[in-house]
Amino acid sequence: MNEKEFGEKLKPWLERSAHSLGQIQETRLKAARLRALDAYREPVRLFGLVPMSAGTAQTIQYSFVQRALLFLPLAALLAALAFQSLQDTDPGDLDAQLLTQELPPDAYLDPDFRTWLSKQQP
Amino acid sequence: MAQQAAALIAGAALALALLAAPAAHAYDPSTPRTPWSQLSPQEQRILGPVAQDWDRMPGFQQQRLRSSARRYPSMQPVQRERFENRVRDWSAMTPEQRRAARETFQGFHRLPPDKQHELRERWLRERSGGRGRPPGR
Amino acid sequence: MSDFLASVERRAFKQAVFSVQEDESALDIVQDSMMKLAEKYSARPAAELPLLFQRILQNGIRDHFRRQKVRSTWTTALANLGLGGEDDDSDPLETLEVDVHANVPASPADRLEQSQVMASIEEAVKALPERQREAFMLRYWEELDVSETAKVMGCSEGSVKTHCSRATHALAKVLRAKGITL
Repeated sequence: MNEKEFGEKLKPWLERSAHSLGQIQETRLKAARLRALDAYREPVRLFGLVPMSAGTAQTIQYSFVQRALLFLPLAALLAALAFQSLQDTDPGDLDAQLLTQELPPDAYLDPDFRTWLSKQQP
Repeated sequence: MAQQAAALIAGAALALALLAAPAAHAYDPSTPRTPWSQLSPQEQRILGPVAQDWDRMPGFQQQRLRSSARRYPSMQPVQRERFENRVRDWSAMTPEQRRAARETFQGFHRLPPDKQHELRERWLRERSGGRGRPPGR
Repeated sequence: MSDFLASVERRAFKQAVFSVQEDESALDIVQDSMMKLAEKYSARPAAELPLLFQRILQNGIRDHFRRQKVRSTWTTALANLGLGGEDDDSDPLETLEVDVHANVPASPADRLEQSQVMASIEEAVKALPERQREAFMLRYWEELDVSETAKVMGCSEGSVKTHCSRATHALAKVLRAKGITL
């Protein structure tokens, strides 16, 4: 018998060996696998930013100051404008998030992706 | 009276303009450039992948990159790796492409988590199974 | 990714156990390897994952030995003989020093329980020198080709062939001694 044949004959035994792990070991392996997949999932809180979800996106994009602007007289408006420009959300944060999440930037340019996205949105 | 009305209208128009422009606003072509040599050693290390292209970039793009690089220290290892791998291709996109990508990204994040998961998994599966070309990381 | 990990986890665990000889560490190594694969390579096409995973796994096993500073009898012996590191092509211990008399079964080969055969095979694989085992597992269990195996092991293709050939001879000898025919 040559080496290749030997290897081929041995493999089923190795497979059998791999499948004769005890219940406990099997469970622990499965747990390990799930843990690995979990740990890989995006951390929800990045760079101190609040997670964006259906409810909070509005408040992130349009700050309190911006919302309040409609109701202020002009002088206060101008003052608020000055204040707002200092408080601008750092646009680099958005890019940093975009570049470091699981989906690569290509995804966001993909027409299919955008189509699916628009179907999901209410 | 008319003056006040005009002021109010102007104010309202201004406010509307503000509301229409979300935090991630359009770029300002007049932003001054910073030569590579003026970046701190840390910035140069983090932005290494785009060093060659740096001096040709418009100021607003440089500013944005430096701003995103400030987040690097607080990134986890996997995030750092992704950043390093992707920043060059990202910078090579047109400003319009980047703007479009940001909009889509924000739209994606407005979805509830389970929908995000579904869409993400779907895209990753399609790309690795269906397309066959190496993914752009 | 999830599917791949599910398909490989048992084999990976067994391979780790063969090397490190102990369940807890083997489990840690497998867990760690899966995390690394998920972290770094989730965007790769499915076809690339087996090779990437094997490399991570084998590195993990090697790291384990380095950390533990516990050498298997074989590598200690090699070190004592003043021979080089893991890519040393010349393995002076050509045959296993298995006490062939200790495990001769009372009954003829064809009456051995299958589980006994399996156990004997497991023991024989565990007793192989590390590099021989690694090469043999990668070639004949993972079914990587010679060039892929060389990449995972970080050695030349010639070394791979040598390790495999020696592993085969060693295993065949042990099984023969135990009266097992495959």
